[in-house]
Amino acid sequence: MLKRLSLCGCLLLMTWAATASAALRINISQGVTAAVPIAVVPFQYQGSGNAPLDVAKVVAQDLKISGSFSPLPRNKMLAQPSDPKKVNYKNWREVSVDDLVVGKVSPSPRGYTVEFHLLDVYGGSQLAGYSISVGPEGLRQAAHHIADLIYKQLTGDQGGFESRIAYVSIDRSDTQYPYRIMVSDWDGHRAHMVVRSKQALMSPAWSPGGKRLAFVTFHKAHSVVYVQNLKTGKLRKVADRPGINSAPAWSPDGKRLALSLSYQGNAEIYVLDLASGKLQRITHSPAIDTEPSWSPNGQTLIFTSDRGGRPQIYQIPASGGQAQRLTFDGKSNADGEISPNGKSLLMVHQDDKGYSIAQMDLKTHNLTVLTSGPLDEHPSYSPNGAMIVYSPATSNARGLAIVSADGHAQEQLDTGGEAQEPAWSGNMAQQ
Amino acid sequence: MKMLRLTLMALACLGLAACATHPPSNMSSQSGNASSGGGGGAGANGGGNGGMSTSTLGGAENGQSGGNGGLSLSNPNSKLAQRTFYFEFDSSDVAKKYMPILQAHATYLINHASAHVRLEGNTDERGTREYNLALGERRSQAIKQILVLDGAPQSQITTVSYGEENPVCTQHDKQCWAKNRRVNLVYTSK
Repeated sequence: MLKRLSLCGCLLLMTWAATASAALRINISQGVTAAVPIAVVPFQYQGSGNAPLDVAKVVAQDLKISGSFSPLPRNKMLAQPSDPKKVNYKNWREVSVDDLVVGKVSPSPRGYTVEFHLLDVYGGSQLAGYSISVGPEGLRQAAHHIADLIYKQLTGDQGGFESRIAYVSIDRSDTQYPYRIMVSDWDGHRAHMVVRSKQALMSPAWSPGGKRLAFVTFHKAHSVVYVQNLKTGKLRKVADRPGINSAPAWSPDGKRLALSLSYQGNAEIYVLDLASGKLQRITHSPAIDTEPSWSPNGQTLIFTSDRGGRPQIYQIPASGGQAQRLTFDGKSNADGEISPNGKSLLMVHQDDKGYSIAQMDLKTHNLTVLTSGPLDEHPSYSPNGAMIVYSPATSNARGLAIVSADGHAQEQLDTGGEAQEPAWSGNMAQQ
Repeated sequence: MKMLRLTLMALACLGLAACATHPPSNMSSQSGNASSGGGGGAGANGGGNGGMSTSTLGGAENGQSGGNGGLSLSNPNSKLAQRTFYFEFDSSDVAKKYMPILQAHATYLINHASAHVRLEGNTDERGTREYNLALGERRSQAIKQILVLDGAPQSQITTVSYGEENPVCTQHDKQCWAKNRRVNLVYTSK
């Protein structure tokens, strides 16, 4: 009995509230071209003592990583106003800033109130002003929300700074439960553990709206696909057939999961209807068919197959039919994902130098290599497609990094340990 | 509200524990009708019983002088002592040099109806993870196919893939990659 427990008790559900100490640090920053110059002035703290969080710093970091904005360093600010009425626009024109953000953080009975104003430096006018109330732990989330409001106001697009990433972390010093699936803000803060296991964990995949996470465990000695409701913690086994059960990918309506299963002989793509449990086989080939991903309109699936020799990316109607090869460049291409606007294909591209992250224009078939490799993998788009999280390998461990979709801005994220298989959520559903 | 959440989490844990009390045999019943093989894994009571007595290998069939050391799982000089089979990059072709060894394992399985092996397919870290999971399976199936062609009953063989998730070596270099591209043959009962 004891033995049985030790064999099986290795996948543990962690409490939702448990926070991990890991915090991402930004290590590298490359020059950004074609980014809009903006100044985010430190928000004045109205309470006593030090501000509990440098809200403006988080806002500026969000805007910077998007690749669309170039925040002014603080030592170049001639003044640090917090009241829009006291802004001397001339100061900001002199340092060639297009937009200016000023604000205040005040303690409130509930937690904090954050007030901020987005100002047009050349027009000398306010573009937007908001007051946001949050609980005692809510300042960081408020900062991401502010970055979203600014991004939306200035670009017309969703920023997605309130989105989250899921990833697999490995702590080899923990002999009992070295494998974990973590969920954090996109910048790695507010990380918490969702699941931990003695055996490998793989392939975290977000449902649309971010309420559920699918992933693969090996705690039953072979691969099994689970779905966990992140709010309730409820865990549901969705694929445990003979052979491999792998590569879950949610349909855009959140009702179906594409999977790669091998119970009928070798790895094929299937679509599982989560409500009815009905399984539909999509591919029929003696080759490996895996890594399915849905087009944003849900009409087609792309997947990796070695039916042509080496792994390449193919497209097939989501109801089955004729598969069409999409990639021809380099030695191999795999783990594809179509951008949220449907125009680009993101992938792991192999050439003579190794494996790097690349993006292909689906109309012109032009391929752009975004990262330098040599062992980069698992790219995933941010909700608006402007950024990509992926996993590069350093000397002997894997980590996470972010690159803007134009390849200009790149950041290494430090989770405080080994991390791999990052998955960026879509925009989070409102509570 | 908080109470409710905690309760739900506790229930989720219980749910998992419940599924986890299935005997281990259920966790490795990949190869379809593994009816008899399953029980062996659960009991793990084959420990020190007579199943390991020496039954000599018909070494002649491999054109080797053979005969030295019996066909014993515990004899380090026996062909049966070799239980790791290595592969080329992105390949599931079984090297010719392994054929006599696989023949010996097949013969052992034929002669020991209670014996059961698990073939664990693994890959190196190059290439994408989910593709590698499928490649690891293809490797384990390639070994299984040879054992079956050599006469071993399918019901005594289980395959599983760990893809690149179970490396024996974690350096990013050729020597290490070569060690990781492997199928491990594990006797789950003897």
